[in-house]
Amino acid sequence: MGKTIKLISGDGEMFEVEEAVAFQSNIIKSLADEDNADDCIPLPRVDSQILSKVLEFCRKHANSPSVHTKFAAIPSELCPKHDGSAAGASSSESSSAHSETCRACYDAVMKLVQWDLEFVKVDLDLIHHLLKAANYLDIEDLMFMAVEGAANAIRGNNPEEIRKLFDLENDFTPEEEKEILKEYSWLDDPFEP
Amino acid sequence: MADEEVGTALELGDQGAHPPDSSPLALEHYLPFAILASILSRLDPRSLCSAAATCRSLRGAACHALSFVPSFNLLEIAPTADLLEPLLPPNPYLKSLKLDCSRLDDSSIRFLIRPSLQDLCLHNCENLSGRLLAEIGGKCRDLRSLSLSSLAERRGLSFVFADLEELLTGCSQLETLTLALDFSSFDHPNFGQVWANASVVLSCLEIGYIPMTMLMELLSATVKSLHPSSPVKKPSMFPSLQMLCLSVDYITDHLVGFISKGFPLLSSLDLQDAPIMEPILTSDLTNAGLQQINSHGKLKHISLLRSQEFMFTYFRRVNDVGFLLMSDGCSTLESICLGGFCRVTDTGFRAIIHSCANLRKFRVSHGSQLTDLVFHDISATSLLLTHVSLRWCNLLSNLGVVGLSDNKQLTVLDLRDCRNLGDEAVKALSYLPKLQVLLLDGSDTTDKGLSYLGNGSCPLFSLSLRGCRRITSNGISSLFGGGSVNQSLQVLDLSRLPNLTDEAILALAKSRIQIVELRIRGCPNIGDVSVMALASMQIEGSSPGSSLCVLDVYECGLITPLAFRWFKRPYFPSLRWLGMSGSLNRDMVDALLRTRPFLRLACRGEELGMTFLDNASRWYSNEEEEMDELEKWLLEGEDEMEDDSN
Repeated sequence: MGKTIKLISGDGEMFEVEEAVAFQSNIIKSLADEDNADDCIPLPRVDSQILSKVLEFCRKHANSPSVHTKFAAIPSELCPKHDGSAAGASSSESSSAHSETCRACYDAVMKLVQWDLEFVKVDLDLIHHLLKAANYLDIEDLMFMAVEGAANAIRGNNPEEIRKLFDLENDFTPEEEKEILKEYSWLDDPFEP
Repeated sequence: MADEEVGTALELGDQGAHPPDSSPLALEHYLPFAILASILSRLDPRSLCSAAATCRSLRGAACHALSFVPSFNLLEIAPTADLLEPLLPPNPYLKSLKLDCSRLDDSSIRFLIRPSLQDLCLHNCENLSGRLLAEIGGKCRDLRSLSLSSLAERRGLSFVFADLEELLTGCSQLETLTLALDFSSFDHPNFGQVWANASVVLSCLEIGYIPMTMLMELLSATVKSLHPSSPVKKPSMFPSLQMLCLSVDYITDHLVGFISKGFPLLSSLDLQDAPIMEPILTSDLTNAGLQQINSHGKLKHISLLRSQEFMFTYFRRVNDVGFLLMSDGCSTLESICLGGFCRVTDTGFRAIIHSCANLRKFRVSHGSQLTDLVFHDISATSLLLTHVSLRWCNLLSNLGVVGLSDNKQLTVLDLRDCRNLGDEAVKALSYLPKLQVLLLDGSDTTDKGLSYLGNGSCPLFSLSLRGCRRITSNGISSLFGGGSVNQSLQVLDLSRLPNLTDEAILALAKSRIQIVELRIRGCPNIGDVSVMALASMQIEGSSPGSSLCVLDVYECGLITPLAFRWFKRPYFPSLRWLGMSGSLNRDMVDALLRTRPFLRLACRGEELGMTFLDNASRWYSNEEEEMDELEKWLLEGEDEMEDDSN
C-alpha cells in the first residue's frame, strides 16, 4: 500500500486515502507538496457527505487514464491489456505511448465513462455540491462529469420543467415574454415560456 | 488554480449564512459563470433555447453561450433564416454544423459558412445554388467532413463544374465527402483531373449519381496516376480512399476491375445501378467481374445492388460460379449486400456465408432462389450475424427463420415481402435477446404471432407489420400485453391493415408506451377516435401530451375533417411530421399550417420522417458505429490540433 494522505472535512471528519486517490485533486496535490509535518490536510469548505462522494469518484479514477487523455498518450502500464509493466518508477521507456487504436484502452475508458454517467445521475442538489467541490479541489474529471450531469438534467426539458428543476423564477417583463414567445415558438407546439 | 481564485469563485454563493444543504438552488447565483458556461456549451440548440426561455439571467448566459458552442445540430425542424441567424452569431469555436436547409437560400450562406467549421452536414439544399460549394471551398479550409443533399433542385438553380473545382481545391483537409447529387451537371473536360487536386486524406467518398463516361474518365486518371508512365512523378489520386459509394448507369466487369485497381486501400464499396435498358454483355457484371473484387484483400464491406426502379432486370450473367469465385477471395468481409442476383441459388449464398468468418451484416434482396437451406446449419458455424435483411425472398419459409434465429446476436432483422413467413417464424424470433428492429411487411403473421412478441424478450425498438392483412385489433392488444416490448418500442408501422380498428389504437394509448413514430396509413377502419386517443396519451413521469414526432394517417378510411382540431394546440406538442389526406379539407390544412409553421405536412401520400430510409445502400436503423455525442466529444478531445498522420 502506497503512502496515504489524511483529509479533514469541514465538519471535522477524517478521511485517510492513498496518494494516487487524493492527488486527483490538484489542490490537494499542491498542498501536500509543501512541507507539511503531520500530512493532514484540512478542507473547510467541503463537508463529509460530499467529500466521501468525491473520494468514491477519485478511487475509481485513481489508476485509469483521464477521460481527456488521447488514447495515443495513455502510458502502457495503464492499459488493461498490457499488464505488469508498472514496475518501479516510471522510466521514459515504460511510459511510452502505445497504439492509438488499442481496443482495450478504448473499452476501459468507455466503461469508466459509463460508470461516471451513472455516478452523476443523482439529484441536482448533489450535482451542485459536486460541481462546487470539483471546482474548489480542482479535479478535472469530476468537473467534466458533474458538468455533463447538469447538462443532462437540462436536456430535452421545456422551460417550465427546467425552472422547476433548478428552482428558478420567471422574471421576464410582459414585453420580454412577447419576445420570447416569438423567438422560441419553434421549440414546442404550443410554446409557453 | 490559485487559492484566491478558488475563494472568489465560491464567494459568489457565500453570502452570509450558507447552510450547505439548503434550498433553493438558484443556478445562476450559486455557480461561477465559467461553470455555467461549460454546462450550457454542452447543450444542443433546442435545450439551449429552452434554458434561455426560463429567466433573464439564464437567457443572458444562453445567448452568450451561442458564441462559443462547439457544435450546432438542428435537424428536427427546417428553420427560416430569421429564426436561424440570431442562433448562429460569430463563433470562432463552432466546429460542427448540421441543419435542414429546406427554408434557406443563398442569402443564408454568409452566416452559415465560416472558417472554423470542420464538420458540415446540410440536408435538403434545394433552394441553395452551386455557390454554396464555391463558398465552402473558399472559406472552410479546415473542413474534415462535408455532406450535402438535394442541392439546387428548385427550378432556376444550378451548380457547375467550377463550383466543384473550388470546393475540391479549397478544402484540402477533407476526409469525408458526401454529395448526394446528380454529377452530370459537373461534366467538363477537366472532370477527371480536378480530383488530383483534391485532399490527399480523402478517405470516404459518396456520390449521388455519376454517368458512366465521367466515372470512367475519373477511374482511368486514377489508375494512370498509380503507374505513372511519364518520368515526372505525379502524386497518385485518392491515395487514402477507403470508402466508396456510387450510383451508376450499369455495374460492369470493367468498372469493378478499375475500382479494384485504382483504390488499393478500399475497405468499403457500395455500387448501385438502375438500368433503363437491358444491359448487353460488354456492359454488365459477369462471373469474371466478381472474381476481381477484393483483389487487395482489404475489403470489409461490399454492396452490389441492381435496382428495379425503371424496369424488371437483374444480374443475369452471374450465377453460383461467380459467387464461389468471389467467396474465395473475400474472407475478410464483415458486411455484404447483394441485390438482384436472381440466378444465384443456395449453393452460392452458402459459399459466401461459410467463407466469411467475420460476417456481421448480411443483406439479400430479390433472392428469388434463396431457400431455408442457406441457414439450416448456421449454428454450426462461428458466425455472429447482427444485421440480416432478406427482402423479396419468396422461397424463404418459417423453417429458415427458425434456423436464422440461432444467431442470438441478431439486432436488426428485415424480412419484408417474404410472403411465406408466419407465426412460427415470429415465435422463434421472440426469444432473441437483442432484437431491436423487426420488419415483417407483407408476411403471413397473424394475431398469434403478435402475442408471441408481446410475451417475448425482444427489446424491440422498431416494429413494422405493414400489409400483414390477417392482423386484427386483438393482436395489437396482445402485443402490448406487458412484456419487454412496452418499455422499448418507439417506432411502429401498422399501415395497410384492413382489419385494424380504433380499438387497437386505444389499446396502444392505454399502454402508455413512449411511441415516437406511428404509421397507420391506408387503414380503412381507422377514424377520428384514434386521433383523439393519440392526442390525449399521457406518458408516465413527463408532462401530458403525446410523445409522437411522426404520425401518418394518410388515407385512413374513417377520418373526417373533425380530426383536424386534434392537431391544434395544445395537442401533439412534439409532432414534426404529419401525413393526412389533403383532400379532406384544404382550408383546414392551410389553417393548421399557419398555427404550426414547423410541422411538416404531407398530403399526397409521401412517406414521412427521416428514419424511413428505403435507400438501397443504407441499413434501416442506426449503425452501431454511430457514437453518441459524448463519446465523440471524448474521442476528439479538447485539442485544436489533432494529429491525423496515420
